[in-house]
Formats: sequence, C-alpha cells, structure tokens
Amino acid sequence: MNSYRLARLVDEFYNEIMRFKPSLCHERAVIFTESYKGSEGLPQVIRRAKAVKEVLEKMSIYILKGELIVGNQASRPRAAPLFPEFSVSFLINELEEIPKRPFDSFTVDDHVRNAVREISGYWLGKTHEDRVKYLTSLVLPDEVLRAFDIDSFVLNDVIYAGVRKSSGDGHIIPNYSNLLKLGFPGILKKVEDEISKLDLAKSEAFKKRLFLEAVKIVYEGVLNFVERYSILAKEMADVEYDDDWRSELITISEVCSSLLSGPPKTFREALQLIWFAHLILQIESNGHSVSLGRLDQYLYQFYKDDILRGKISREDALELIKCFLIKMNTLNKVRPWSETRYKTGYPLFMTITLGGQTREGFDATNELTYLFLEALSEVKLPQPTIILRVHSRTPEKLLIHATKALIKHGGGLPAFFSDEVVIPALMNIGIRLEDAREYAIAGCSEAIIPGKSLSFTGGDCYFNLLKILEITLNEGCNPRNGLRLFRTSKMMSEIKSIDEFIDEFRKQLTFYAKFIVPLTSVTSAIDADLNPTPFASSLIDHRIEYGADISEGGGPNNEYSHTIIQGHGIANVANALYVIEELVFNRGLLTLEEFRDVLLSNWEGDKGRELRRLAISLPKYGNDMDCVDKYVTIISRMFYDEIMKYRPLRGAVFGLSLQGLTANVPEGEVTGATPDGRFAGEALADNASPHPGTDRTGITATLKSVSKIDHSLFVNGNILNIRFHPSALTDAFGSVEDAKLIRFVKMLTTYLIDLKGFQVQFNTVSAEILRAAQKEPLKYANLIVKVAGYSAYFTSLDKKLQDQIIFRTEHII
Amino acid sequence: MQQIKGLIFNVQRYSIHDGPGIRTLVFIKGCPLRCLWCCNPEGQLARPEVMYFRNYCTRCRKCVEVCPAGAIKLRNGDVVFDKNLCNSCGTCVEVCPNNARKLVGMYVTVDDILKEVLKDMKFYARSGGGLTVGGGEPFSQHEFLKELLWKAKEYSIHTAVETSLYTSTNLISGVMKHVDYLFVDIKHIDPVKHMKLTGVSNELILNNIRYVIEEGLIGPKDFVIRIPIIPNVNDDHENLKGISEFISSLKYEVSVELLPYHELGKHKYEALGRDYPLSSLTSVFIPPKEHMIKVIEFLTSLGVRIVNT
Repeated sequence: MNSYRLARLVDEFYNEIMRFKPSLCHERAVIFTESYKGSEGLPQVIRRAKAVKEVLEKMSIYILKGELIVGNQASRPRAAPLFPEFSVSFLINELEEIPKRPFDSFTVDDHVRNAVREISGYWLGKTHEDRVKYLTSLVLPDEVLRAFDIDSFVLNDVIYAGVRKSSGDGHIIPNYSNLLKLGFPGILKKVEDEISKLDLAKSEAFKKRLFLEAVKIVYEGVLNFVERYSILAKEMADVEYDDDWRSELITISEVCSSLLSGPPKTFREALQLIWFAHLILQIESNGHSVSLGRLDQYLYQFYKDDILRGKISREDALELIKCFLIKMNTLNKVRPWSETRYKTGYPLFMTITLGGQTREGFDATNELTYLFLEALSEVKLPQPTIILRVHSRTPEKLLIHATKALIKHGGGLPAFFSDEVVIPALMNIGIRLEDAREYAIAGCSEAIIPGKSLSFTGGDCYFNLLKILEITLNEGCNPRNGLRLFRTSKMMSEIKSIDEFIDEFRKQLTFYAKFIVPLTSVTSAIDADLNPTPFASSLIDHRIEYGADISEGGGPNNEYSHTIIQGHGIANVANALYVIEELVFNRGLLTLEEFRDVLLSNWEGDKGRELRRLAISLPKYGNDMDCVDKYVTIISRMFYDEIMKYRPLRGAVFGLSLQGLTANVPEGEVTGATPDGRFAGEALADNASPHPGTDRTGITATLKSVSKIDHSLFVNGNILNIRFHPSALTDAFGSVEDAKLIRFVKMLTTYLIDLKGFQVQFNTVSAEILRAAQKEPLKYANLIVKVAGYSAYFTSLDKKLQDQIIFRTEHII
Repeated sequence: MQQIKGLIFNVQRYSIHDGPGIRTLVFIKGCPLRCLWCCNPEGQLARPEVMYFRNYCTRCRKCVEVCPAGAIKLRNGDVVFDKNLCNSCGTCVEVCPNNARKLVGMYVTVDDILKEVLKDMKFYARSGGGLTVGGGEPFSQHEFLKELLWKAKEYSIHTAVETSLYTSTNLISGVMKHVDYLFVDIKHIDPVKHMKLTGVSNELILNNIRYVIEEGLIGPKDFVIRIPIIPNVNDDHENLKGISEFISSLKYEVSVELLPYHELGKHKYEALGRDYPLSSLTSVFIPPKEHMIKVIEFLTSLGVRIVNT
C-alpha cells in the first residue's frame, strides 16, 4: 500500500464528515418498533434479539469516500438513532425544541418528525421510563416523593438519579482480545456448542437456552450486517473511477468477507472487527461510555505480524488508526434536555486506554502506544477520549511523546491516569491484583476490567454535597421548595463548634445516602426485565457458559461491577466549612443563624458585601494550605463511609467518584448562596478541581491540595482539570521547549506516582482564545476543550460552562 | 532564639526557568541596581510598598477614608495616591473590595520560607529541582540569605542564587558555601554605559565573577552567566564582543544564557506610581525570534557557549 495515497483518502473522509451537522435518524426506531409489534408475547430477551437483528439487516448502510474502516450507526454521519424502548415522551415533548436548543441541538427532518409521531403510540406506557416512574413512585415514601421531581429524577435538589431515559446501561468494555481470537463466527460457534451441551434435565437449562437463542439470533443479524458491507463495497468498486479508491473498496470488501468466515488475520481486519463490534453495541442499547479498552495491547500482535510479513508499513497503520478515530466522531446520541444539561457537548464517553502494565506487572508500552498518540494528535477531534496509564516504570520517552501529542491535539487529550492509585482502588473493592492490572477506563474516569466487569447496573446517582451543606444550615429545610425531609438534630443556635456543624452535615448525608439503594435498584431491575443486551453479553467473559444476560448479573465476576455514585462540589464544601470555622467560631464575627440569613439574602446589603469579601479573602482549597484542605480529606472520607454502607441490587459494590461531568452548572442553579463566597445559582467547582480562580499558589500547590483526598477510595475516579497557558510549554516564540516539557513530565509523574493522584488532564488553550471563540463561534468552530472526563467543541457548550472553563485558573510559568 | 527577618516580595512555586528541575523561587526585596528594563520594579526598594492597580479600582473611596497618613485623596472623582506620604501600613489594602491595592514586601523568618519551600520536596526529588533565591538582589540581605541557604542545605535541598554580584567581595565566600548553582548577569561590558543603564559601574561585578571562579567557589557545570538582550540598548556587536572577550578570559568555560527583553513588568511601574524608564527610548523593541537567532549566531561565532537552562 502507498501510505501517501491512504493519507489522501483519510483526509477526504475527514473533510466529508465535518460537513454533517448533528441530526436525528428514525430508521432504527421504526424497524425496532415494527419488530416489537410482531413479537408480542415472546420472551423479552428474544424480542430484543430479534429487533436488533432486524435493524442490522434493514437499516441503510453507506460507505463514504476515503473511509478505510466501514460501518455506520445511522442514515448519515453524526445522526443520532432513536431508542423508543427507553422513552418516547421526551421525544414527543421535545421534538420541536431539539433543533432550537442553545447547545447540543439536532436538526429534525419532517419525515423523522412524522415517523416519531407514528411509532410513539405503540410505546406509550411500555417504555423504560414509564416503568421507572411507576416503580419509583411505588418504592419511595410519600413524604419523600413530594420532594422528588419525577420528570428529571432529582430528589430535593440533592440526588440526581441517572435513570436514563434515552439509553441502556453501557459502561462496558468487551473482551476484545477474545473477540480477535475467535471472530464473530467463533463466538457463534461457541454459542451453538453450548446449546448442544445443555442438559435439559437441569432446571436452569431452560432460561439458559433462551439467552443462548437470543445471542444466536443477534449474531445472524451481525453476520448479515458485515456481509452487506462486503457486497456494497464490491458494488461500489465496480463503478468507481478513482483508481486509489477503487482498490481500497476491493480491500474493504475482502476484509469484511474474511470476517464472515473466521477470526481476523491482519491488523486492518482486527481494527475493522473491533469497529463493527463497537458499532453494534451502540445500535443495540445506546449505552453511555461503551469503551474500547487497551487497544494498543489487543492489536499489537496483529501489527507486529503484519510488519514482519511486510504486509503493512508504520504509516499505513497510522492512517488506519486515524480513520478509526475519525469514525468515532460519526456516532451520536440524543438525550432529554434535563439530562443534556449534565452532559453537554454531544459526549458518548467512549474511551481508549493506552500504556500501563501487563497482567504480570511489566511495563506494557509498545509501538502502537506511540502510534495511537500520534494519530490522536493528527486528527484533532473531540472523540474518543484517549487516556494514558502511567506507572513508576513508564518510559520517560513515552511521557514526552504523550505531552507533545497533548500540545498538538490542543483539546486536552490524552488524559493521564495513575496505575499506582487505580490498581489499589480496584483491589480495595475486591478485584484480584492481576485483573486489576488489566484495567481500562470506561467513560470519564471509571476504572473497570475489560471483559470482566458487567456494566454498571442501576444507572448512577450524583450527590450535590454543597446542597446538603445549604440544607444543613437551614436546619434540614431546602429553601428552594420549603420542604424539610429531615430536621437537623440541633438548631443552628445550639451549635458551638465546627465539629458539631460537620456532625449535622453528616446526619443529613446519612439521611440522603440510603436513597441510592431504591433509586439504583429501580433501573437495575428494569434493565434485567426490559432491556437485556445479548450482543454485549456475548463479549463478556463466562456469559455464554453461564447462560445469562449481563443485565441479570450473577455468575463469575459478578462482584466486578460497581455502580457509580458521584459526589459533587467537594471544593465548595471544604471552602465553606473553613469560612464558617474562621468567621463564626474562631473570630466570632456573627452567629450561624446570622450567616444563614445573609446567605438567604444572597449577600445583600453592606453587611452581606463585607462578609462576602471576608469569605473570599480566606484561604481556599487548591493552595496547599492544611487549614482548609483538611476538609476535603474529611468530607471525601465521610462520603465514602456513608455510601459504602449499602450494596446495589445486582452488582458487588457501589463505586465512588468525585467526577462531575457538567453537573456543576445545573447543580449550581438550584443551590443558594453558600459560605465560600458563591452567589446563589453560580456553578459549583468542577470535579475534584479547586473552585475556578481560587488556586493561586501555582500548579504544585494545586496538585498537593488535591492529593489530600485519598484517591484510592474512589474507584470510579477523580478528575482534575488544570488549565495551562500555552506559554507554559513553549518558548517565548511559541515553539515547544524540551526543557519545559521534561519539567512538565516530572510534575506529572510526581502527582500521579508520588502524590497518588488518580487522574489529571490539561487544557492548553489561553483565556484570550476562549474569549475570542465566544465572540466569534464560527471562526473557532473546531476549537476543542477538555470539559469533564471528555472533550468537546468549545463553541458547542452552554455559555455558563464556557465561562466556567475560562475562569479556571490559568497557570502561567 | 529569635531569628533574623528578611524582606521578601514573593514565593513562587513551580518555577522552571531558574535552575535545574522544578524549583521554588524566593524573591528578596531590595536591589542596589536600577536597570532601565527591570521587570520586577517592586523588588528594588528595601521596604514594603503599596501598589495601586488603577484598572481594578471602582473609586469606592474606602481607602481614602481609612488611610491614617492621608496619602490617598479624592480629586475630581479620581483616586490620587501620594507615595511619599504612604507609610506602607497596609490599611487600605485590607479594605479594598476589588484587590486594586496590594502590599508588596513582607518580613519573614527563614523558617517561614522553608515551610513553603519544603512543601514541594517531592517535586524537587523527581525533577532534580530545589530552592532558588532571586530578587531584587539576594546579596542585599546577605545574612538572611546565608541563613536561608544554610538551612535549606540542612534539608538537602538543592540551592541556586540569581544575583548581580554587585556586593562586597568579602561577603561572597560565606554565602557561596551553601550554593549549588549560580546565575550572574552581565548587562554591559562598558563601565560608563553600565552606570548609565543600571545606576552602578560594572567593575565590582566583573571582579566578583572572576573571584568566584578563581577561588573555586562554583564549578563550570553549575555556573551560568546571563545576558539580557535589550535591542538597541546593549545588543550591539561591540558590547557582545566585549562580553565574550571577558568570558573567554575566565579560568574555565562558562555557559551563557540569553534573556530576550520583554515588557511583562511594564504595568507594575504604573502601579508603583513610577514612569517606565524605557518609555522615552523609542528604539527599543521586543526582539523577535530572528533577532535572537542573529545574536546567538554572533556570540557562537565568538566561541561563546549558549545554553537554554
């Protein structure tokens, strides 16, 4: 192959993709609905299998010029397919609004609008959402239901329950090593073997038979889907005039056809197979954070063999990887507006993990680790999220290479994760050492074991910890709705020390924490009932032998799944506690009640202004000062202790996280003024980061502060956003300076390895550029920033979120 | 025992331009030189000062009301700050709601500083970094400097000093015992021009450079001479040639680092109520990359070893 020729085609493909605006596609919804109408009365797992099979057989497929890896999710690039089985009410209610949204909008063609209206009648009352509403109303006590917003699933502004109206469970990383070994036909054969081995005299064989039948049905669809591309490519080749493209089409046809008969034999076939699997996972259930795992590890043997046999050059491989990364950006997802606010910027949270260690604990870096980073820096797109695992023996050369990719990409990728923290964190929830070493990141920062962890189970719950502090100050009452679910044991006038106040905070947290069990169980139970995912299950270890869908749990490795619970606003809580300690209890400037009244007035009047000035002038989390940092230590530990008292319905444990997506904006909107100096409605600090603009003692101080949280308690991760002025890595004339790069790398490894930080990510866009992009969005349409655990186009974000990113302290050296 | 106190105006962590690795940079306040291009003018006077950042000021008059010295007045709705009357008590800084006023200069003990410096030990260990004392002029408080460096060495912290070496020669060796890495500036080779540009002659400086080398107070690997490149002020071939001749006359080969002129400190002059000294010199400019390359090529052709620390 001539790699220059490939590069031209990949460029052409890239340009083609960029022409498409996000839109909605009705095809999957229509085919799926038709199938469901015809399968009434059959077991649910069979119905879903049949429906997915029919979608794969009937949906329109296309091959765009220049794409070396083929397979599409919807009728055009960046179109989001619809999943009526989860919710139709949001589609009907928001159909007119979706194109007009200020961010995360989608165009909706007339025929799509009509199709949605046509199918929705069938689904009313039968969807995941309907069932969630029914079950939630059933399990929550009436006095709690009063404070529960059933449409956005928020409990008294404190807990956002991610019950997912638009998507399945997701949060899965298939065992791609195994898939590459067997191919689709191999997996199908395994299913057939298992069926023939079934001992029908055993009672569990009946249910097992159903599940295996479902997998078999889906695989018929899968093979048909692959074959359709093989045929399409051949047909297109027959009439193609561009010689280069014609020869690629022939190759594409051969690659697909080879995957029909057995496992992949080349690097290209392997990459194509993974793409098909990833795509079908998306089509099957639209899950969040369906991730790819350690592609540099799984693919290396194919790459090495091809290089040795002279079948491929390094440059060819680079172009194939680039094409693969571009393809990721053709996928899309539409969510209800209430959920979109928490996840702005069209994220799918698809993550590729690079580097790290082998099962045996050796450094796992190989040539593909470098190639993936190189491809990332060349395509400059927001998806997928690429992360690099760092451990004490990661070669410095790789870290420098990754830093150069970070600068060149410019949008916060790759992010860096610490094996020295993640592996102990996984072992802390009972995962064996060698499996823990195989971890990969799913979504933003969730550490799971590819092929072993059984998705998330039960959606997720986000805690607005700052809201709990506000409610504590108001003696259990939420000032926004006047409801008091749980009164503090003491009046504020009776509280004599900061420790007593923290004790009341803890009691409120205890009160709210228990609701994670019903809230996640509801979703978990419904997933098993309504949304089994036989295709996803076929790619997880032991499921075929065990004979049950992953949504049912059970079987080997059941204890490897951890339901995510996030704690938000920890920086603000720590700052607020310190202000209370200092102004109320140390200086005696005012009483707690007086402070509460000032906050209820949103810092009004001279007294309010003066108090706010004082509050702001006190030390803040992020400056390596123990007087305030001690509170992040205390509160993060308290959160862990309170949550870990409970167990989810299906999985092993709850897995905690301090990451927060873009929840800090909507959560700020429902939180009144707080003692840290925040005005009512202002966004909270993002993730585990200091509040924007309050970390003013330099990057090392910020890192030290954040490391005072025990990160190994949070298996689903912490995210630390650091914004660097580009000059921090370049010389006075804008070229990358090696001396600075090396110090940057040392700073990074000190944080990840010595200070035991879970994760860190960097934006290197200057505030001037971000402001310019706000003014002239069209000119900066391609500007990417790292938002939370994912990257997105800056101009596509909520204005409030844009401002918050600009206000993040910019470290200049 | 009561410790002596030093006057500093900043402690900056994650400094990566002031010696090997990741460093914490302590800025000593007070300097005998008055370089026209100085980018840290708040480091020149050996006493605390109040800076006034006009663009943050909302003319709320709080400072006018509280100033015990009557140094701040309201004239035609505008705040006028008389530096001569100011006794740097900092009362106005306390009340300013907009951070438009800043007190620069604080008296601290060596232990106060070390507490900050020790916070980044992990970063020094991994990167080979440590403490750098700059300023101002560190030797202007040589007792304090000596104690700070000595104590840092007790903790095995790598130490660096950035100095003009405009100081009594007999003070140098006592300090240098505790210094691992040294930066010295040569701003001009001609004593008369040096006087004009910095307010002092360069004879003492050049002698002291020769002295630290000949006495073996620092090794060639740990010594860097820095030349600020101020276009049309000191970047003429004659001066560069003179400097390179001086350098080649030294006992061992010294590495040279060039510091291109910048104007990042310009706004601080206004905040201090002073004029920017170079503003009358219209021919000065911020050197673009090509300009610096030419200077580097010229110096290299004269046998000077240019480094990038």
